[in-house]
Amino acid sequence: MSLSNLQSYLRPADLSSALRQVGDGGSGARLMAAGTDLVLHGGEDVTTLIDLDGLGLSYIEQRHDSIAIGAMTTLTDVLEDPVVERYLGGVIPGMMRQVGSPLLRNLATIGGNLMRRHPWSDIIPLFRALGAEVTLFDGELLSRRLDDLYAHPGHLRGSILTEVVLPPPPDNAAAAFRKFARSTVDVAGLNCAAMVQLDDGRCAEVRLLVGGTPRAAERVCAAEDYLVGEELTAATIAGAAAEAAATVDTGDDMRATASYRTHLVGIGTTRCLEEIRYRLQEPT
Amino acid sequence: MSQTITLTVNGVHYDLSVSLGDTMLEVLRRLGLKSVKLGCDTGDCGACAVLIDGRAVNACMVLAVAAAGGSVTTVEGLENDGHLHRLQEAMLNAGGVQCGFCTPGMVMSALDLLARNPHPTEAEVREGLAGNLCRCTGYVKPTDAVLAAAAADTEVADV
Amino acid sequence: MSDKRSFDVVGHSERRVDDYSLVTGKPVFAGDLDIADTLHVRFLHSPHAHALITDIDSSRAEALPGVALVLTHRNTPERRYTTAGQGFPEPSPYDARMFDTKVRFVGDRVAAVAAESPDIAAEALHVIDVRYEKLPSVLTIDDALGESAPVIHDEEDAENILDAVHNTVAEVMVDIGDVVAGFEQSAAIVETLCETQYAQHAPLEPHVVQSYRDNDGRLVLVSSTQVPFHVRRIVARVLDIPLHRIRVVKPRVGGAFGVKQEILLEDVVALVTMRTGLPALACLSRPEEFLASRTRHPMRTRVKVGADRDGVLRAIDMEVLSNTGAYGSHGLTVMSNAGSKTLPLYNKAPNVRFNGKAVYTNLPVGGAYRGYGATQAYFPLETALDELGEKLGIDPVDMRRRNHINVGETSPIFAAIGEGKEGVEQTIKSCELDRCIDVGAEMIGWDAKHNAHRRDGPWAYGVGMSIHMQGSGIAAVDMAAATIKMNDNGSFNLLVGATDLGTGSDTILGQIAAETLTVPLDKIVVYSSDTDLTPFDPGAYASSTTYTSGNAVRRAAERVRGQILEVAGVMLEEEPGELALGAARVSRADGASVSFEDIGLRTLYSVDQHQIGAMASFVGDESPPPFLASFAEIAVDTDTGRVEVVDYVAVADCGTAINPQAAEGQLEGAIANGIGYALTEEMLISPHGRVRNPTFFDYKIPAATDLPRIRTVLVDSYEPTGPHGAKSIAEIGINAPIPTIANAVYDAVGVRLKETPFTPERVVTALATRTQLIEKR
Repeated sequence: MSLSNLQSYLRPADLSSALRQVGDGGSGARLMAAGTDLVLHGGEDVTTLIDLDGLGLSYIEQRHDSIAIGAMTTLTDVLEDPVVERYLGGVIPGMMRQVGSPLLRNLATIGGNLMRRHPWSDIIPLFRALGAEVTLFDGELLSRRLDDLYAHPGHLRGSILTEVVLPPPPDNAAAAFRKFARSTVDVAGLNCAAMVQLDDGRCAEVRLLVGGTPRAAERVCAAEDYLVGEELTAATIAGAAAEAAATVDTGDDMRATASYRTHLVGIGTTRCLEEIRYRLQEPT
Repeated sequence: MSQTITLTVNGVHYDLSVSLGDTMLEVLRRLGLKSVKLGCDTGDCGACAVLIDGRAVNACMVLAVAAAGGSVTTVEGLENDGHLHRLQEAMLNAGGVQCGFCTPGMVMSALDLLARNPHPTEAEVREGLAGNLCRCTGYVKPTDAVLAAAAADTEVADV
Repeated sequence: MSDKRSFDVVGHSERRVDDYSLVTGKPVFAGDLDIADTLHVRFLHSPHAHALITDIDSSRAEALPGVALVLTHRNTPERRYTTAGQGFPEPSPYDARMFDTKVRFVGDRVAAVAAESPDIAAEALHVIDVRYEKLPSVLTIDDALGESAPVIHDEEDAENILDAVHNTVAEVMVDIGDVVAGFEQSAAIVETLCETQYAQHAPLEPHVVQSYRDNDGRLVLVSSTQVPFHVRRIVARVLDIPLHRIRVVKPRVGGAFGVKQEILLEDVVALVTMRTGLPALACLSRPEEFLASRTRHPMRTRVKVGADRDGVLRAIDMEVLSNTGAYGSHGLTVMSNAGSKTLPLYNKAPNVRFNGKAVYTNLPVGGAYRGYGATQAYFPLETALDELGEKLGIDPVDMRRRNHINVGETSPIFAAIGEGKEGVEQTIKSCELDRCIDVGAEMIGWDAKHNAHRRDGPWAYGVGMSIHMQGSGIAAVDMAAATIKMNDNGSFNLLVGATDLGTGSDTILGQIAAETLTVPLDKIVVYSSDTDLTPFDPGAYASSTTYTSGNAVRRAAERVRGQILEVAGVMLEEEPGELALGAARVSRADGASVSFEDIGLRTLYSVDQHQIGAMASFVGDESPPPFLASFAEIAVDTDTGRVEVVDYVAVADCGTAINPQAAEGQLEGAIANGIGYALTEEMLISPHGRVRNPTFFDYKIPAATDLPRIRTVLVDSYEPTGPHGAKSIAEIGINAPIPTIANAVYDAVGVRLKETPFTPERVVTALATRTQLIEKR
């Protein structure tokens, strides 16, 4: 077993107790969403587990035009939810289907994925592209954009992620996701997520992220800035892809080399933007 | 550090003393349920897949204390009065069992799949089995088996 | 033309005899026994690729509560042996010691701990103090052959290493005719150099062995093994105990594919039981399976082929450099098979040269792996054939038709290359390869799709093909035996040493017996792989079980038939030769008959009592090859380089398929494994010789969503020397995907890939290079 030094397993019934237990547990305390990582790789440093399973955080709720997904919702539940399916043309189940396998998705949670922030996470770049916000509890409930949360990861410490909220899908917007991996059941060697909203035929809002570089996903500001104010055409898409390939920093690891990743940055960006362009052209 | 937990496994209620770090793989095998196999211990091969509260999950990734109070089904719980479950029967008819090591896990994944999607396409069957690695069959006959089991579900067909 | 017989049991997809226990999850594997007081054995592995152990102190480990024993080179036998599960005298060097004073690869054995629990054993490993003196290491074949290369096996007592100073385990040179002249006579010549990678069998069940002392004090080993009899012999040798004081039993095995044709854990587990009197259990973790068991031999193979204007081969020159890793088990034989299982296929070439070398490196140890050298060598051979045909304007399918061996023909290679000794001459007696090619080409849509340059967005489609032969057992070397005895009710017990790995051999051997004895399969109770109770069998390797063990079963069944007829003759007062035996009855011409049950009861209890039964053995005079025609349609994403297999067709001639469903299953699984080997599987080694990806997370074997429906066909065929006409099917499939896919990629995008696996990055690089070459012109 990996968790050979576990002294205490707690299952708080409310958020305040959970937070207190984290504090009491000291440096060996860990919040457990499903534990898919913790159980396998937690190691002998983990002495206290605080299981979030008893907090009623497994839900998917439509709130006006937003969708709120509780942190303990499994990836399978997100994948199969009809409300989530309708969001921006099914881009979320399209991504989720490529995450792990059914066995993993039946266990892993949205909150766990967002908190663990594996650099290859497929969920994080897409949810950031969609402008998702998270609710954190640190004694009080507060809302943060996912972008901001990762920009200032210190906010994660000492707080519990309770839900992620997908904002109302903007008019005249589309999103896309691409993943490149060695096989069909594999973490990304590189992934791309994009959302574009048009205003009067020109890009008004552009969010483009590339992840698994092998580092965690980042916004590709150079490509985003390039597109704002432009129409989405083959030429501007190629330009954006070139900006992305030139500015996204890639590295070597077992899954891919830096140069191949750079090659994929261009392809992934192009394919995401081409799909968005296609979707935006479709009559509603 | 140990703890006593209750589990219902294949319909039988157990009070078990477990270590906090024990996974369900370890606990179920200790209970004598050898169908739950150790293939990798890292959640990558599916040989330890069981149903916990109706969903197929890798037992090596679930702490026993986290599953406490829940209901577990393993392949040993499928046979009914000497009759094999239609999925088991289908596996045998289709020749989907070679070494048999991945078979229990595959059967549990297939059970979960058919519960959600009673009439899957071939592509959906393969997606449903994507977490169960097999080195013997190339997945051809196990896929046939699940499709045949789905087709044999007369309850749904009668609607 | 094939000899089509009408069978009652053989040729039917009978339900397998072990199926029920497997689908219900019964505790039938070696790790399921739960024997009380079992000590758990864990190994300490070397962190260095090449080092001397200058000091090893296990006292702190031994002092831990719950630790029963710690084994190191200080307290274990020094005798050198081979871990290779092969017949005696093994054609592999005796270069291993149970625990050595030197480590030769990252993962090599340093020590073992036996303790009351796995956790205590793991803890004890941490407190064994080892001092190493690092030595320079060699991580490539070229470095290992270099003049100043460190000598990996410099021990004085190693045996059977050809040239230890130059790290060369073995070399094979065969020269038939005159290849130089042959190339001069050729209208077209192609030369290619291909490299295949480190790959691992990755059976779902790791290596596991349980040992205990039975009530008579004998040592019992329950092992997930392919070779129970070789285990018994080699353990007896290593531990210096009489062979008959050991019993080896093979339970159900969760896949092996060659990695369990090795004495990997049994010696240590046995020693623990001997020293402590207690049962012991060792089970490798998944990372240890990658690091410290056995692998495919990486090979660099050069093939040069020349043909006349009609595409008929004039010369073939094959040069194999095989990396056998830190120990030489299977080093010679895998390298030899690269030639012996490929070159005879093209017997039209009068001039053939084969040169093979197996070389030590400080890397993971190559062992037996389905295909056994042929898998690596078919890559350059079958891609060179395509390229040669292209130069001559001859379609790949036609190239094969014009050149492959056929019924009534032979090849000098059969006699020239054996398994550590001379080979065995043979003439082909069954070959339906033309039919296989016809069927496969039609199923894949060859004419419409080859050279069609179909594009769909970034996807480029192509088809490729290759043909193959393998063997059925090792002629004149391996002997299998079977015992059949008759019971009161006319049922039979079949005892075979033959080793079912999930391959279905218990079932098909039962079917062979049932066919000859004219009873249904369920009247045969099969018990296998127990060195006390079943007669000898070399084990499951070299595709030998159906043919070699099957023929032994057939012979034993024939003898039992004879005995039944004798008794029936007395009962019916008729000459046995005048009686008819069928459907478990023996009948006289006028219709009077007796049942097997009548005979059973009479012979066991009442008149002239004796046990009806027989033992028979079989050694093959030849190794009749199965044949395979393999076709695939692939799609290449020309942007990312990703190769997807859209459709795969494998058409085989395995003689009579004793159990068609089981035979198809073997072919499907082998193809699937081959596709992984072609596209995604690669053990990555660090500059220090450490395997970087010893997990399924990072070593990608095909999942259900990675593969198309693999379509298999077994054509009608009959091998006169096989049991009811059967040949093997086990290995041949795995040799096909690499060359088939490589040829399909060429059809799709015009690049010839030379290095496996064909990762997207490799394909993209090849595409870019070709584009550069085209632009240069």
